[in-house]
Amino acid sequence: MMTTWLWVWACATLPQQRLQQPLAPLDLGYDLTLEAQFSTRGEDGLQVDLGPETLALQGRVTLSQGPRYRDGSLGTVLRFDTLVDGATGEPHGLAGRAIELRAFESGEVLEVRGLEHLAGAGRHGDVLDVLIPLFSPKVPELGRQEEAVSTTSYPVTVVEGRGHRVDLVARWTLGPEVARGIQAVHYEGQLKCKGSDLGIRVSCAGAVEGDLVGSRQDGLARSALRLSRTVALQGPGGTLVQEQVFDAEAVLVGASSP
Amino acid sequence: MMLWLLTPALAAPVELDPAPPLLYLDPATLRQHLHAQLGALETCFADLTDADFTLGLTLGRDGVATEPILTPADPGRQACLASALAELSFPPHHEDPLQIESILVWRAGRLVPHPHLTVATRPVDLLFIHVSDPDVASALWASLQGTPAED
Repeated sequence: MMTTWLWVWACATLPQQRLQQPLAPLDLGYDLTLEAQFSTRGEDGLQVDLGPETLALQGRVTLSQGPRYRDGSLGTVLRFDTLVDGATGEPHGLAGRAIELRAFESGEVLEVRGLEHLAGAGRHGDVLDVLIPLFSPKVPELGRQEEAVSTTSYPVTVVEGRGHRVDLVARWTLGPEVARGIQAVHYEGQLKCKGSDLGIRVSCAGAVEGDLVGSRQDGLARSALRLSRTVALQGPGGTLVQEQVFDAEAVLVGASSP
Repeated sequence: MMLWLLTPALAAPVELDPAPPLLYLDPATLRQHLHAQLGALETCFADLTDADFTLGLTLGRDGVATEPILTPADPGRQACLASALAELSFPPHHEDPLQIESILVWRAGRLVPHPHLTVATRPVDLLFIHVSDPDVASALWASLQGTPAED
């Protein structure tokens, strides 16, 4: 997925024959920090008495090239090598687990495999789809002093019948060259989602803002974003609404052959 | 002019195989591994003619199977299986210890592969909303569906 990001962004200047060369299978290690705040309320008759909650995660994430599929899409395995609760220092339930992001080289995520193993109490991977734009930002072709818009749509399906699809539209601007061969990029966008969970209607709307820094040597060196959204679950018993705010950052710490 | 160029290392030809898989085991994979290794368990049934048992196993992240549970209960045979399981190996995986269940069919002096194999699933009530207390999450999920959970 990270390689997809490089690929698309690089399209602006690379000769065509070079773009057709596939990327080497490197394992990319990132330090991940994520902080989130959640505020929950009930509407339409649903009684909810729940105080605000927070989630803080710190750890190491590795991206590895996964299988290449017949339709030309490529899998990237995102593995939570070590992950601790930032508040307690205890290992988090996601530690040791992994998902696979399957995407075309355009950056369009087609499928997130293994999400059922990240979902639910003690893991909460079902709300961490923010990691998709963090690790797989769909960067449009950008030239100097240009802005460009990208649209992307990705599924967040835990199991069949329990999921939603996120539509994200973002405007990108090329930032300064922060060092020789190292470029900054900024983006801001809007997102919405729609889906269902065993008959419960799922919807969300929100905003995302992020910054990327990359280098010629290491690819995506840093990715940071703030994503805020309102998630609503609507069922016969009323509507459960949660305001979610995520601040996440991934910093490249090394690349190695698998 | 954009400075984004692929490094020589990144531009090298890709190896399509082997690809690192997601290390989660589905019932079909588990069934395949169990059936291939049934012979290691046959010594525990040599005194029987024909019999059927349900076998429960715990499968650690390292692929080691432990804690056999036989139904109908047979403590002696269960102890034998606990030793015989040391001969079995399953792939390592990302999940918590898996609880799996299969059926052992003993016919004419050998264990016959049976298609039944189930993996215990984790209950996941409330998705896409972060609630740290699983009991609260379950109660909210029930309320949302208009069927409040009983205390």
